[in-house]
Amino acid sequence: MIKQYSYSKLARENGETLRTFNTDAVKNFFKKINSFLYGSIAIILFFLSWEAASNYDLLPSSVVPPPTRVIAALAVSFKSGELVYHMKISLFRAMLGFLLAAFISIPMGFLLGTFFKTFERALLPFLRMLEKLNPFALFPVFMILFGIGNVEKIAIIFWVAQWPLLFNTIAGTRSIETNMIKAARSMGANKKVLFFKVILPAAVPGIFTGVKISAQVSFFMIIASEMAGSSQGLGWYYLSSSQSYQVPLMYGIILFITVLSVIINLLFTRLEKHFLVWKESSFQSN
Amino acid sequence: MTIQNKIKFVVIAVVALILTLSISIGAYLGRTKVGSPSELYSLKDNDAVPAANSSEDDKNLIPIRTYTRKNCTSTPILVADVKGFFKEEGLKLVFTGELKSTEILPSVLNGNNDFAETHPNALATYVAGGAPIKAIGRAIIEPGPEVDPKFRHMRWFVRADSGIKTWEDLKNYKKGEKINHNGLAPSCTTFIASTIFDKYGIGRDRLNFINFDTDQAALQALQQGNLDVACVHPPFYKLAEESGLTLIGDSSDSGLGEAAGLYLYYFTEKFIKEKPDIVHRFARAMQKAQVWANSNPDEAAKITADFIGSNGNASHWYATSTVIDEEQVKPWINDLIINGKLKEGQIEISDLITHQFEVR
Repeated sequence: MIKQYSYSKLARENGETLRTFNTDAVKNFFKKINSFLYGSIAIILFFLSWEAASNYDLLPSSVVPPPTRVIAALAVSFKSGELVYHMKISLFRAMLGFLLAAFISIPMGFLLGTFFKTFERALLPFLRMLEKLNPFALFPVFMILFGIGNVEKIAIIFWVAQWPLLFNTIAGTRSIETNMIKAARSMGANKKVLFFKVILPAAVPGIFTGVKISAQVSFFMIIASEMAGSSQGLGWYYLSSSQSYQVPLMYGIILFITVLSVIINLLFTRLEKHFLVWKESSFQSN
Repeated sequence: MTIQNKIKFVVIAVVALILTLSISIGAYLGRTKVGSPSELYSLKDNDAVPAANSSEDDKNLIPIRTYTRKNCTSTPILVADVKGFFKEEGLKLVFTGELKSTEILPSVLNGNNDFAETHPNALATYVAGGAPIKAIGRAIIEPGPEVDPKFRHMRWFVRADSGIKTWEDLKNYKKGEKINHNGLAPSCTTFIASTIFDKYGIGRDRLNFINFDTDQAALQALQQGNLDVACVHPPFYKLAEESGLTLIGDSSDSGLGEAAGLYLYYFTEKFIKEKPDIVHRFARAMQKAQVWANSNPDEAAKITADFIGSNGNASHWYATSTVIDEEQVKPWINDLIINGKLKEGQIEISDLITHQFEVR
């Protein structure tokens, strides 16, 4: 009797938990939809006003075509494979330059921010000066050093992507409280444990700020760098459509680049959240 | 509010006021200078070019606006202004500021500028894209063999160590590989180069066009080995020769005759419809200026060089009548069809030009 009562109570409680969970999930889903729609109002209004302005001749359609024509031109380009071809080239160049910068700048930032602080103090003003050099003015220099093509474009991306990664990693390692390191040492943590369980997790927010900025800058710069000394890539494709006066396609490429940029930002924001959760769990497991 | 907060508030307000004033004054002083080339030139305090439009009569002149040119295409316009041909027609040229090539057409369409000029292939893509414009007369043309070759539209250079001396040599150069050439289609560079490559049996399919901002950048890329062939306009012929590059040919090698340099003045259809008298006056002024520039090439080159700040010869050869021969336009359009930029029959030559304002 007692057993039966316990089972039925348990079943009742589980059912309620399930019901509560289902209700919460539905609520969360609608909340997300609501927030998405609310955030989209301005964007939808912008496109509707643009369409109306073009259709009612408030904007000269030969200079600013309506968004429906822009999207149609983009669809044609996508179907022909041209858009995808140029996107792949741009993303490949941007990704390679960014990864190269990450592999070099993040470890260098750790070293300068932790074990070589004196060296960092001596080097930092010089590195800051290099960071401030206008990358657009450096295009000819990269062309001289690396020739025209993928290597030159990747080198440009590496150059611009390395600075946010380096300086934010240094800032991230500096933000670690010395008490935390002392406490870990007093508890017998060796260098490996200290690095992976204390320093690295604590520096993650700083690193990810750098990663996010670098990813954005890389994508921005690849488009700019492909506008000179190039015969392929999204930057060149935009310029080519502009030169051929394919105005709807020209706007379509601008729109496509914007959407790609937003996607890149979203991806890195998700990745950042994932790593921040890892940071929390890493601290908790200590 | 405490006294300290009040002081803070006053200081912030004063700083904000000073900043706003500084920005406003800076913006006013640094604004784009608008005026006729001779007026703009006199601002430089140099009396090499007489300021033709400086009298009181200027007030009665009708302004005609265009973007500021700092390249080899500017000669006839500068000559018409400096030598008073615009004034004779009751016009006053106004330079409205420098623009990037992609901004020129929008500036004409939105009415900031009244006219501009371009090659027939660019004009055809503009019209095919829905731009309501029409060409009214010719500017640059390719000169005949009797004229000094330095006035030809474009020249092609290669590195001295490339082993190439003529177009024929390109047939066996880097066999099976693309030949890197400066340019972004459709332009005069890509059209004439493709025509020459076809003519000499090299084949346009071997051309890989790489875009550069300027001819100077293309020459630099050629010297570094990033380009195989570079095509340049005046005034860069001198620079190319001084850099030890080898000349392999020029635009006359295309066999297109005058069409190899064809450059057309265009206005919006609205402007043509509403102000045909101004377009007529403009066409007459340009015809006189172009005849003068061909007869006085050294002086025309000096006027151009003084204005654009270049020492080299920046002059072309100009049409002495603004009559547009439709046969000269056709090859430019056919090239667009071959390259898939236009469909057959998409554009008729009558969509691009009007013979209404031709001056013989």
